[in-house]
Amino acid sequence: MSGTRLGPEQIRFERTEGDLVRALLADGARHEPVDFYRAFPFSAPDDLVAVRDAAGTELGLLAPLETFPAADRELIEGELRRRYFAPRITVITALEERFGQSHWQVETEAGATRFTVQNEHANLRDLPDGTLLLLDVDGNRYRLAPRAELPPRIRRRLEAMF
Amino acid sequence: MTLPSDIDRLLRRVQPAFDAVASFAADISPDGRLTTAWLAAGPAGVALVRDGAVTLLAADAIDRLDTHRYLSGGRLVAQHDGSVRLLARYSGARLAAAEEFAQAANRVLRSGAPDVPERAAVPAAGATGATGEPVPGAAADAADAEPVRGEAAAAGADAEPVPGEAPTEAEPVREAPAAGGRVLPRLFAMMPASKYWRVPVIAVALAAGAGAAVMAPLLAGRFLFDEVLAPDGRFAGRLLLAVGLILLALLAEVGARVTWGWTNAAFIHDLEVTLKRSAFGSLQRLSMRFYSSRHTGEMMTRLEQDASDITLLFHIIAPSALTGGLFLAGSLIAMLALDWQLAIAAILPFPLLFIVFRRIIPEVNSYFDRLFRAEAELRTVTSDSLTGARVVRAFGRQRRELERFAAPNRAAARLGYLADAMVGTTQPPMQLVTELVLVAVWAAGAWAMARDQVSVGVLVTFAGYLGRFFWPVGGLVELAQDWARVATAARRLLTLVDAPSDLPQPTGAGHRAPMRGGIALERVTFSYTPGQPALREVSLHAAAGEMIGLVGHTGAGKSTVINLLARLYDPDEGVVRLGGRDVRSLAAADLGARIGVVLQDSYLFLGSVADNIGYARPDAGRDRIVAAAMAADAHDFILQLPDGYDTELGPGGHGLSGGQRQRLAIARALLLDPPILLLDEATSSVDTETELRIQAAIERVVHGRTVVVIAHRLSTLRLAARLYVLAGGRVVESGPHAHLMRNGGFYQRLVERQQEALHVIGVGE
Repeated sequence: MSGTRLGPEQIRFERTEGDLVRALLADGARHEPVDFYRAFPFSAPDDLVAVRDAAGTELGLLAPLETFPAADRELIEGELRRRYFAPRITVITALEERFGQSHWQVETEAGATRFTVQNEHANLRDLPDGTLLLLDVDGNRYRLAPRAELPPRIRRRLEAMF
Repeated sequence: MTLPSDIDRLLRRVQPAFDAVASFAADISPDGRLTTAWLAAGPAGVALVRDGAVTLLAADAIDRLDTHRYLSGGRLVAQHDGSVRLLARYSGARLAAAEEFAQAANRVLRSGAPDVPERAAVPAAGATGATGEPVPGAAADAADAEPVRGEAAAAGADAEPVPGEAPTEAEPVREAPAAGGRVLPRLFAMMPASKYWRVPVIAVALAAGAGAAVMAPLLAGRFLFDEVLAPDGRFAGRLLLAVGLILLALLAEVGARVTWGWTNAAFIHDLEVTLKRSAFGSLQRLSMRFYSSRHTGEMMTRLEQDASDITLLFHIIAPSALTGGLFLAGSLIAMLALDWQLAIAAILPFPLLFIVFRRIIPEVNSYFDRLFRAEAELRTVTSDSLTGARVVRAFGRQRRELERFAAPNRAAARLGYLADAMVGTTQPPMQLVTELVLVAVWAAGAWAMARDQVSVGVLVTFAGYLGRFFWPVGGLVELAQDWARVATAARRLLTLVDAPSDLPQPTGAGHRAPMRGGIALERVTFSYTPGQPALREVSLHAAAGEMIGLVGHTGAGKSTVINLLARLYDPDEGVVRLGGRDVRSLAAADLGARIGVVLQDSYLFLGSVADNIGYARPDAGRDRIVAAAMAADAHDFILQLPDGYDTELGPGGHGLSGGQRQRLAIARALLLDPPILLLDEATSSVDTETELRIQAAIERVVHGRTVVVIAHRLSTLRLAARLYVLAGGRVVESGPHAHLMRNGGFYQRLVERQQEALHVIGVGE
């Protein structure tokens, strides 16, 4: 709720020795580790981020991230990147379609990989920012450039497949 | 007053003092003959006119009239001192009329004079009220059916429903006035006027194409051979001119066809879009009464298939009829002019061909129709079996499913084989006939040419016409069938478009719904199907900010009360009030914004979780959506979904459990922040723990709102200021929980039974 968002006065964060994040509440309570959840991962990724302890109990919704000091923000964003891991595909090396599945061989910003996608509408999503989200058969996520920026040949194949 | 004059005269002669206020035509005699008997009600009593005899049942021998249902149709009975007397039987077509007659008669018997029903006092309800004005076209239908209509004269402003087809009488949708025969003008009237220019372009292009096609053989035949190639022709040797002219004719034909194709495609597209939009608009406008009487699938078919069928008219029928007609006429004239004897000889087989086509084409089509049905059946079985895959596996019935699939599969394959075989075996002989005619013409022509009676040019031209003459013949037969399909589709669709709304909107803007204020049902009677009232004379109220509870067994009418409060339906009798105003006088959008509803079956639309919560408030910010979800105890599970509030729901999207859907529905209602909240079994499909959380959520949000809650769990209801116990559509008890518990009535038994049950399973409450 808008009135009860947690700002830097109510909550601070620090890195634990185990490379996770610890929350320090104004009343002295400490929670270790905490996880961050986006309420609107696509339409508002940096607003309404929820903090939950290891048991899943919600400590609260964070105030907009830009109100936090840079160090805290870096911690939060780092954790968010871990939870919402979806490397951006930079080059499609090979794309093959067989029996309703497509086999991708790609270069991503996180390195080269290959994966298989079930060709269903739900596995290629248009995100509000225009980029495409691709879900492979194991539930892994990859980001693709907006449709308009894809090579025309790839774009037409994607439209035919999904 | 519509007693037929002869009945009226008879009644006046036998019972001069009888003043008929309401009348009804019963169409089945007590012993089961289909004859008409008339009933008339007046202050003196009820008169029965059957087979020329008049029987009077005096008013003091009747306590009241009742209607009872048979399987179809029903009976009208008079109650007196515990004895019940059968007055008349009637068919399904008369259900609503019988109901109205009984009500009108009861009013007049009770008061001795007709009174004006309350709904007549609502200005907006009169004109197109639930029972509407008789539709002219339907009135004509009624006239040729039977000159008999039960009319509740006392009903005054709300003229009675028009008897149409038997099962549909009480429905708001009747045969549209225009659906009789003037389909074409109506279709054109639905087009935006700015598109009319396309019609003449299409017609001219079609005619020009046909004309050019008629000219082409003449140029290529007689002109080329006799005037250009023949040494004594008028244009002898000027080959270039001849070729140029032929090319020009061909180009003209192509040009006309392209113009036609282009314009026609645009025209068809516009028409289809308009038709579908109008039909969909109607579906949105019509009340729930319409939906409950039809399958969703049927409506989707109407929308999709009928609109596409209608465009057949412009895809196939109009061009075929126009070009085919021009072609036949043009070729015939040209052939007769060239050589009338040869022409008549060549045309002779045509009647024969036409008759053969007429026999064979319906036959082939019937195969394709049956094939289509068989394939639909196969699809039904497949989808049924796959949808129930869990049950099939749980019971190990895979073998049975295989057998269930095998039969329609075989049937469809067999019909497909027969249809293909039919086409394959009939087409070659048909072609043979046309080929034979051509060969005969060539032979006869060659013979005549040898004797110098016919020139080469005439023969070539003739053969050219003959070839073109054949193709429209088969087409003409199919045209009649296509037209039948278009007419059916158009009639169905126009019926839908013209269907009057049975939830009349107030003329003008309507009253603003009061921001605060209680709700009340005043002597409300309502039935989903005529003759089976779901509510009888129910009165209840909740003051502003008060919470009332509805209790009762399944089918007691609890959900119906909610449906009427949300104005999904209008009551047959009585008034639903919101802040003292009749809901029929309130603007619909305004009413929607004041009432939050959580229905038994909460439907979630395609879209994200946030879209679904914000359905009634698309402008709500994310903060408020999250706040509503928190209040409904939905936030926690939503964040566990992979994409949080952005998770897509519906087919291909994420599935939710019953309790989760329920909580989303509550969040949807809460986001509206309505002064009035209607909760129908809001906790029916959840486990005990979730239910406790939902109850806590409800308790949090009821403060300051007027709430009507239906719940099986009686613990929820202890919060209510007053409980209404419904049974068989009536309120049998009402009062606060404690009061009802002392009463020793229905409610107390209900509570005790539930506590026993809880005790047995080891849960105390």
